[in-house]
Amino acid sequence: MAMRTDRRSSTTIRPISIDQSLLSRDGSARFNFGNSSVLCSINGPAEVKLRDEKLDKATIDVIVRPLVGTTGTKDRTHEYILRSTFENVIQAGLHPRTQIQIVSQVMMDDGSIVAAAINATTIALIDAGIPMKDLVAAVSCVINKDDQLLLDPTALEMENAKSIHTFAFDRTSSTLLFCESLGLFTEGQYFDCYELCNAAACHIFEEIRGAIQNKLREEY
Amino acid sequence: MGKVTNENNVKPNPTITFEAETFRRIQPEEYLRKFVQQHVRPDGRSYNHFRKTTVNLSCITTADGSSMVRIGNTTIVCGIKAEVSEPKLNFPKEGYLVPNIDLSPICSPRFKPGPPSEQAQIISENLNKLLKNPKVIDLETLCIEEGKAAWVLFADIVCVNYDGNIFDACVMALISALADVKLPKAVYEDGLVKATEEKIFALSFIRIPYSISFAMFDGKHLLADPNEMEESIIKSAITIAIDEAGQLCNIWKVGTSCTSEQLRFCISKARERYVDITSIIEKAKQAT
Repeated sequence: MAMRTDRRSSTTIRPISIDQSLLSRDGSARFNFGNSSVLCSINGPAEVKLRDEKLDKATIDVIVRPLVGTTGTKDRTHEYILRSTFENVIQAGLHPRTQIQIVSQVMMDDGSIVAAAINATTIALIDAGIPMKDLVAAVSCVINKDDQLLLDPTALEMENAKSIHTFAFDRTSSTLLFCESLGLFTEGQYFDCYELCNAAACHIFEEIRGAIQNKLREEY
Repeated sequence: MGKVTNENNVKPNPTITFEAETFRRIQPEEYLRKFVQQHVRPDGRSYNHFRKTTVNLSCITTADGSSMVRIGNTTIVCGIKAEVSEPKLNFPKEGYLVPNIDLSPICSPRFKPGPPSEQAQIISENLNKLLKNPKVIDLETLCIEEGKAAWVLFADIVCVNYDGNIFDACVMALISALADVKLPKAVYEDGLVKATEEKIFALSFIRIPYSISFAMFDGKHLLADPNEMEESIIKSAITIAIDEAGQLCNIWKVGTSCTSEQLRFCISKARERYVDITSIIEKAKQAT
């Protein structure tokens, strides 16, 4: 098996680091996959603009800020991904006529940024104490030119990949919440990636659990 | 006063159409559920039934390539204009393709005039990804002179009538319009590009992807080709793009959770639908 540039095996994720309550917002978290880093802050449940008010549930507003430059179509797509994923997970019905705002800021982009943003949002929502039905974890993987699966790709690996896959799973049933696959691949390869990422998502849930336990231990 | 309003609201002989319409407006989700439980959809289709699809090619004579696609009541027009420009610095041997989608208030009241809506931005981003990774058009054939001149294809996609499943219609319109493009033969001489009068040169396709969409209702019912009413209720969508060799080019899934079996089912249905789309487009080509 070919070694990757950072000496990982093809099915290892980069070292994960999680920081919580970094900002003085209702909830915040930073999630790192190696050098890729996303900071997420949560405001809410707070007052909602009259135009966005929903009578039976909270409005979920997502803002994605890129590392450099102004917000473009790519960031709008990321906003949509985060919103559609978390709308089904947050128990929005408990806070009608309010707004829950998710702000996601990319701190460093070395691949798998969408996955890192989803994970950061999950932890920040826990930190903010927003009631959720389930937890979400996301992982990316690529298939390179030699048809080899590489889990948690770096930016360079993503650039040279034949296909790029990002999966987000929920915790209790391990079913797929979000998936984006680009490039050329077969059905078999797709489901290999699915299985690999599903297993990796379980590992991320363990990491999230550990991080929250540590934080609680420090506080009490 | 109370009596008067009562008399206005309760009709002496309420017809069944009036009641169903009221039900649909007040409880749209429950309305759809009542249908789906009977294995039928509000417009009379079964789960796996796609709406009638028609394609017209070369409908805009002033464009270099154009098409009009109708899926049920969803109508998309795509026109492609070719211009000569300098190639991008990092790709001196390639021309480029700029897709742009316009969802104006004419197609649906949900769109407001002004800057592109979030949905338009997401569709254009996803279209761009579908064209670039994997490559659909051999961009090197668009080059006229390395680093000096290349063809730029501006693809303007306009939604005329919005009735759901707009991404599939956009992909079909864009791909068939690209296949319709005829460019003149161009040569680069002393800083000038000279082109022939007659248009002979067609684009060379590396692969022909089409996308096929499904909506998932209540976590178990997969509805193919959702219309506007279904899309507004169901927040879970699965879009699969495949090429002529049956290879997958793009999978996009958002919303509530789904299992791998459901994905496999969607992929197999998408393969069946791909064959239908190809025959529809073949027919349109013969008609022009």
